[in-house]
Amino acid sequence: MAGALDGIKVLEVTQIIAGPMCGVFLSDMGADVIKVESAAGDGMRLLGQFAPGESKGFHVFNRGKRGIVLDLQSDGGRAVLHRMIAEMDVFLINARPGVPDRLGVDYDTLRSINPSLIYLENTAYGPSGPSAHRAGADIIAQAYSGLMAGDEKFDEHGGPDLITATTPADFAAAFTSAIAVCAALFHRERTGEGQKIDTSLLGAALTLQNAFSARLPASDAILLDPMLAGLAAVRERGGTYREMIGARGGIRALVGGAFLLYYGGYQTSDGAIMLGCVTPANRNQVRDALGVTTDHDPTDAGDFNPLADGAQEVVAKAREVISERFASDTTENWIAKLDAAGAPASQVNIPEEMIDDPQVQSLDIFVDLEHRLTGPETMVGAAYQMSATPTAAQSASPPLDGDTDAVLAEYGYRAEEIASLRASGAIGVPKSD
Amino acid sequence: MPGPLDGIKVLELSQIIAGPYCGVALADLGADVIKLEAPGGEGARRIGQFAPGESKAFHALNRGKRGAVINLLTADGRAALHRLVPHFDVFISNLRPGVAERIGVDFDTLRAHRSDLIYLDVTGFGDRGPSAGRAGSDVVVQAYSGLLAADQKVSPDGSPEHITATAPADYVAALGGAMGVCAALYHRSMTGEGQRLSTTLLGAGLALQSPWAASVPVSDSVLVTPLRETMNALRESGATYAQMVQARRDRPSQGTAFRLYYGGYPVQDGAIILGALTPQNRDQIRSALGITDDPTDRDDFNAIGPDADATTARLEAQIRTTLMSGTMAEWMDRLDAVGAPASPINWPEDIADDPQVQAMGLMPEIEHSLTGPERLVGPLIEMSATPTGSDRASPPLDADTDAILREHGFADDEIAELRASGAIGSRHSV
Repeated sequence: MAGALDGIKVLEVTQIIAGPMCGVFLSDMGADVIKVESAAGDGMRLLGQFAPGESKGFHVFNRGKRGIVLDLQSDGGRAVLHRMIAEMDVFLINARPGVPDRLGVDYDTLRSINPSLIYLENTAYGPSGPSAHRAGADIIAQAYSGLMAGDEKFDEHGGPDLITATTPADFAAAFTSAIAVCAALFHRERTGEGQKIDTSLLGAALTLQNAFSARLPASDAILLDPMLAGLAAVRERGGTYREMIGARGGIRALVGGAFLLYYGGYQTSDGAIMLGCVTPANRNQVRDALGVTTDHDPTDAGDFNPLADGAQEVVAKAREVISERFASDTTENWIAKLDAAGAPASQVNIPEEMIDDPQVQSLDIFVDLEHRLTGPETMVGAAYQMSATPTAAQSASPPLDGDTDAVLAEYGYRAEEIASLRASGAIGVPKSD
Repeated sequence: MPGPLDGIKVLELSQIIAGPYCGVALADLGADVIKLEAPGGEGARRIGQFAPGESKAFHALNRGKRGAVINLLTADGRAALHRLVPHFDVFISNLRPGVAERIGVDFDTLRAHRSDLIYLDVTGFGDRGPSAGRAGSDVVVQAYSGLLAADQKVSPDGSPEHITATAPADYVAALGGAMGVCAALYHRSMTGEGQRLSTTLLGAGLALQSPWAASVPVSDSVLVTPLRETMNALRESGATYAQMVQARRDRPSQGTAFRLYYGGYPVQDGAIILGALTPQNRDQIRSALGITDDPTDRDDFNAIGPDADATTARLEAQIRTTLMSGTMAEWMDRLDAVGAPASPINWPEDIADDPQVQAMGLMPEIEHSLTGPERLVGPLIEMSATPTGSDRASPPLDADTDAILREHGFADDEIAELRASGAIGSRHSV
């Protein structure tokens, strides 16, 4: 069976994560994805490289693609791209606003060659507005969007600590981009019409915290407005970042403190455990497994008011009891008891070991690939399965300039044309001798 | 102009975040999304409710939909749903494995009513394997997938701290699901064929940290294999979670120098974030900060060499002191002037008023029929030919049940009878 995007051709001028990962998703669904790089290569090749121009990050964010090198600053290189674009369905770019125009790969130029092209541009702040021109990266979007302050973590110096487990804005932008491309392909199938799609890291980061960022006057009068007033007061008197986080957390802790008793982590006798209860039924399961009674923890009783005097002490006392119980036995034993009760809980795994996890293995989440330069590797594959059009990782990431000649030949270039483009530096990596 | 999914009809039987946000993403693209709830309403209605059955989270995660209440525990309710299904293109469910079969909404049952149905299910751990039946929620999968340990945050009492800014596995499962649905619609338009799509929070959690979870033996022998040996040794010696996190933080890494210009620093009136990815970015920041003796970008600098730690520590102290001498606005002016990637730290609760957010129209104002005006994060995609849009707030419980059934061929007396029997409608709505 072929993938859902079988036969779709994608050309990408992308770098780092947001653009490249979108290309991976399309490739997992069967699209033929060609990555265009400059002779220097995507910057990701140099972040933690283990062989010249090859990093684990690049391998992950570019599997399934073929790679060509074009000098888009040269007329020759640009002409190659323009000749190829006529046969493409989709073009992806993530660069600062203005760069596509400078390189001659802006929407109007490419559309004049291929009117039904689906053109996707991802930028940090979006195509317009006071910050449109500013430089961005995932961590910038984390900070600018409020995601980092919303995470409420600081380092030992009192500065903000970023989300290090992933690059949330980059990934959300990549997923969103792939959603939009697929929807645009569906629309083109029905109408013949192509279009331009704009996505931003800022929009992606906001989506991830839409409940916190939303304004809803009927609700905000109770919680949000006092919080913002407290925050403004700290700012007014020149308070530190830590104090601002405290001001944000105060009333949220009052209201959410009881919820977090069963939605968060505890130490066990040999490590740590995480609880993920979202319903009263879940919390009862945990209380049963722990032997915690409503005397210890009355927070789910109908008359418990989190804003009443003494409520915080009640929550703190309950936390103490729960902490003691978890500390009295091993993670494995607690997981067994909580599983038996049907409660959501997990041991805390480390990402480097997940490849050996039996659950992960039974879902075939990882894919085995062979890289032309660096040999075998195993990577996270598509995050979902499709019964009629299975997803599949097509190949490992391309070495720099790995497929330039083959791809150009496929698009009608003769061997002597390719040789002369290579000699002029319009395509390929110049020989260093 | 209509959205790209104009005319596509979606039935969504979902709760909390992963299923509901997938429905929002499809509604933003123009699909007609109907949210099905049990008579009590879904759980997110009561997480921080400010009016009966209405919470801010529910509003944010269910805008753009109409709502119907059908009791799938009754035979009549199930029959009513099966009568609706032939009119729908897409069905979304996020239930524990086995539940869909019990209430008659599994793929095979629904496909019998609509042969080209696109059916998406989102589960915590998938439908097979030793953890298939386990209860899952975002934070559980944060822990299970390694995401939480990789975030390396420990509370003062030594417990693991989770990512609180968002529910990463939930949102990514939602976005991944919407991507799959759109691709499946494309495939259906080419071939006429529907299908089943499955996604898991576990897969989503792993996708978010693909570089750490991946195994590339040539590279791993240097960095990952020693780390895994260290972690095993610590576990055997009975180390605490905090000690294990510290060991992972302290692992030899080529990233220490990188983090100098990719991270947050306190300034006089808050904090500032540097986001340099390239040597050029770092040069820009060094010039704005007046740092002249940083060897970490020179060819001869060995990031895992013996002097690397001392060098990066010296530079970090210098950057820290320098940044503390100014305010957010002063530093942003200087860093913007040289084109360096940097940001002041903003607050999620403030961001609706940010001029960039407003200029981009990222948070449209919509009107909820019960609770009045609200500004929510809207579609995050702009499409030139098929605009995305959101002008509908989340549905009050049971708000559209009768209208939707009528629209799909149910007569008024049938609707009244179903309501009287409890097969449709909420207990409190009569």
